[in-house]
Amino acid sequence: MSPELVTLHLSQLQKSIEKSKTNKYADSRKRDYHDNILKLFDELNKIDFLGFSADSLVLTKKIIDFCFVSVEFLDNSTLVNIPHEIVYCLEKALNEWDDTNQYIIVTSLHNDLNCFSFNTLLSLNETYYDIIKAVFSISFNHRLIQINLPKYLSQDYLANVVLYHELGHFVDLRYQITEKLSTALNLSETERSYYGEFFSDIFASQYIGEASNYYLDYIAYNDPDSLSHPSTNSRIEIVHKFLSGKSDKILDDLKDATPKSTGKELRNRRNVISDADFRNFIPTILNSEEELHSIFEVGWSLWQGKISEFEVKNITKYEKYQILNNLIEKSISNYMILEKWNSYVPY
Amino acid sequence: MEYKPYLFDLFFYSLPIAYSKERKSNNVEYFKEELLEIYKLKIGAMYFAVNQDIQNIETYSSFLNEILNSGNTYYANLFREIIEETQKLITSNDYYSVSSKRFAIVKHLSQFPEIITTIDINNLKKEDFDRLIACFDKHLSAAN
Repeated sequence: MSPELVTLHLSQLQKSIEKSKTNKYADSRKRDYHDNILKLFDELNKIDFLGFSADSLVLTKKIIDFCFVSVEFLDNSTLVNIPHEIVYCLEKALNEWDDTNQYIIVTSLHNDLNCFSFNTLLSLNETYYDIIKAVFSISFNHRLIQINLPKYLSQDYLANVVLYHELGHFVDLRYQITEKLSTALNLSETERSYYGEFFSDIFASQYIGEASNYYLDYIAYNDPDSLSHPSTNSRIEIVHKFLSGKSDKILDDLKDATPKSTGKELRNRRNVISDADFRNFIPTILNSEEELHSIFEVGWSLWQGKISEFEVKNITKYEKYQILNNLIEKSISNYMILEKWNSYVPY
Repeated sequence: MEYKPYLFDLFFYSLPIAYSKERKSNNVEYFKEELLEIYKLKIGAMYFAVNQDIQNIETYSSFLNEILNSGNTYYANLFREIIEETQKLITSNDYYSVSSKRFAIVKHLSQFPEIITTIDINNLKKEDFDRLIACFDKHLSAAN
């Protein structure tokens, strides 16, 4: 590895950082994180790489990559770009499992329509933060939970229920739930991976019921077991069992291990609400976080069924798609405004 | 692939902007068919995935080298915490009691009780770090 190429990499980072300098965030913690990236860049920029050993150059490359990924996700999570409403719902769920205020959900929008994924790099890879603190004396107070989602579906509240599953992956890895369980049960790598997927499915269903199953059964229809994922049918079945209170070896293992690692139980965290408002084209007034999460089930239930009130008005399928998404968005957004309003009301 | 109208329509109506012009020109059915084919091909692609970048043993090994070569106190304190956690795990064998933040490294080191249990965390010496390197070397040589 040559010093000139590390310098090229750093120049590329500089270009990206220059563009991001004017980013505006609704969450001040992102600004704090962003400022640390700028400090880190300034420190990197002072270094003359000519005398560096190969190991030090490799390490520098990794740190530059770390900055690049951070800027990419911050750029996609500004006031203008971030899908606020769905991230707000995810943050509510996250706070139930980690109330340290340390983790910030950030998103990156991709062109792939199936690109729902979670990356651990900026949230759980402590070694990066250790290196940065040890070498540059820069301490990051926050970590970024990186969630990837399809660009064209960022405002699609039916498809985005999948993000609850991605949050489940974060909670699993944050507390090492299935890793510890896997060690205790001496599971193979594939079995551990399956437990991780099952955990994330069950985690999501605490909030959104079967909603992500509907989507999974479409985009991964009848998929058999693979090295990383259990079959789609087994994933759907375990969620059924969890929601209906039935017993199952894997489900019981996960229900047992989760409180041991997190102090929290896997349980129903939603409160099923009426679809009457949506049928009348008005957003629903949500009275609690449990109802907030349940709004996605209302949307899914109406999407899959016939809505006589819509048919009378000759609403087309595309209009139905837009109306349901708008109603979900407005219901969440009203809840957000009311919460903020109530927090300022002087009693 | 089974055709599920309500789900397929969901995809269809969330189509990227690129399709919108053609949709206006009454080619709706054509594009539905084309899209169905695309999704048949995409089955098995990434769905609900997690990209893990696991803390690796090499990095911790490099921390040890830093301690030995330049006396880095930050890494030394980090290892003090890791060794303390590992000693507790070796005694209790309770994986759930280990802090999640560094579970991977603690679990790895717990495989070397003959080294870990003889280290005095309140009086760490250069020899202790030398012996820890051996725990990593075994892993790294196995990996290679």
